[in-house]
Amino acid sequence: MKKLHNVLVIEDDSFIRKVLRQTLKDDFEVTTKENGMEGMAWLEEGNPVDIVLSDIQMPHMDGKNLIAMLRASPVFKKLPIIMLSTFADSDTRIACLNLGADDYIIKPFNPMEVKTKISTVLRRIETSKVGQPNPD
Amino acid sequence: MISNHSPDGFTILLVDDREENLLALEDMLATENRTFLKATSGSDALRKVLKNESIGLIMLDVQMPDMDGFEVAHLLKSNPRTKDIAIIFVTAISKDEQYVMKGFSEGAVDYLQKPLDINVTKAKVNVFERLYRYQQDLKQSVQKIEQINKQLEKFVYVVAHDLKSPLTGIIGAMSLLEMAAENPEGIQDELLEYISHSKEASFYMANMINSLLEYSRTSIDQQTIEEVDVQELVEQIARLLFPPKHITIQIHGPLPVMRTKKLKLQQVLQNLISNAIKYNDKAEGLIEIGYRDFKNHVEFYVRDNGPGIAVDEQDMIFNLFQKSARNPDTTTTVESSTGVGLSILKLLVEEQGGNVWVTSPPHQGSTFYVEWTK
Repeated sequence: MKKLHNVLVIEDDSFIRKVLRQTLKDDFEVTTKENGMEGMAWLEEGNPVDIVLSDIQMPHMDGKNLIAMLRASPVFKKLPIIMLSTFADSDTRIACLNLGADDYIIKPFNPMEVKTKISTVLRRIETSKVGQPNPD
Repeated sequence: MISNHSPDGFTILLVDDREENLLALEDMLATENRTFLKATSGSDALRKVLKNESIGLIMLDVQMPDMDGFEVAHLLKSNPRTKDIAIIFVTAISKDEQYVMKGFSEGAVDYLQKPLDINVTKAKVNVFERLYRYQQDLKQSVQKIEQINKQLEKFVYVVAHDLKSPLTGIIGAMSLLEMAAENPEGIQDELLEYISHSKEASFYMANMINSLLEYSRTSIDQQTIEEVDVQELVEQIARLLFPPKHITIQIHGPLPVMRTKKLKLQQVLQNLISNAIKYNDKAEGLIEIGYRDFKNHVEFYVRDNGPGIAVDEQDMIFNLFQKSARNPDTTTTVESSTGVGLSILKLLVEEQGGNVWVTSPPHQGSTFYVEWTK
């Protein structure tokens, strides 16, 4: 059965990638990438992505840079992105949300929470679309 | 004994509107390590105080035209930069209660009465000099402690963060196991993978905790400074690490003999040499250890012909050490020594007032430098 939404998971630890894929695969189409640069390349190739789930600390392009790039791009400025990080301090969380992240999950995470937060962010976006009388 | 470090100079500012009084005071108080600055008016005194941060005491004449001593003192005490400088008022007025009280209410530390009694004046200034030195010592200790505290705070933050990383893997594996348990058919391999991952990540954490315990133990035990023959120490380390046959360890010695905290230096050098052995990927591994002597410190180096470290990883191995290029997937790799090693090493070296860094030109191995304060 074709799933409704495509989730792009960006995470440099291969095992955590696997955990996320296993967690999400029943409900979403899942693509995994190892860092922000690869994730960005996947997006720029025009692959369908409804929501991004990204780690912060990664080589090459980290999560914060990724949010900044997405928000600066005319194509991806509204693409939902949820951060997933071991950094638990409020400074980092606030910084990410201010950069334009839609939510923030602290590692270690409960897989159910990840699944639910993705659904919640997607639902919010669907609802706001309905509320707009003249979508462009 | 005034102080246990080298007696730095003591600068006294003499303020009097009469030149001859200034000369007499200087003559009375002169000793080898004292420097005198002189001001002939209140405004001149303020200028000199603001220009010279080293002033430890001001001998302040009270009765001066334009701006009197109390006014000068008042201005100095209201400026955070100058409020702690000790002041001795020098007043010609016979013991006038009112003046004395006024002096104290301005925050003066003491006063002397003209005509000055040579012995009393000398004794009083000696006391102030001693107080000044105690104060300086205290300031230095506080600064050092604050610096170490900051390092420790940062360290605790990083360690907490790093201890959480393997937990993310373990909890992830457990969740997958839980999911798999609901539908247990044909998932033997998966189960084994999750279990083995959890086990490895747990060992990794245990190793990290061991390094931390080791660090805190050596910090508590080893505060004594002793004479250390570094040549002997390094030879011993090289023996005890049992390097494999294809690894040659060359010591460009003789390394110096220095007075330092032996166990800390040993931990640092042992960590670097053991890394150099462990990560060496050549058929003929070569590790060189040597040093350069500087005035206040010794710069040790440990050079290897191993895989080297990419430029963008070089800072990271000390800071975000849980993910170095040498060990990119920490939660899936078992290492007998964890990344905590290098960050503890950095902390140990910085505690001694030194520094540690690495250079690694492409395909030429890495050289770790340790600046160790004498």
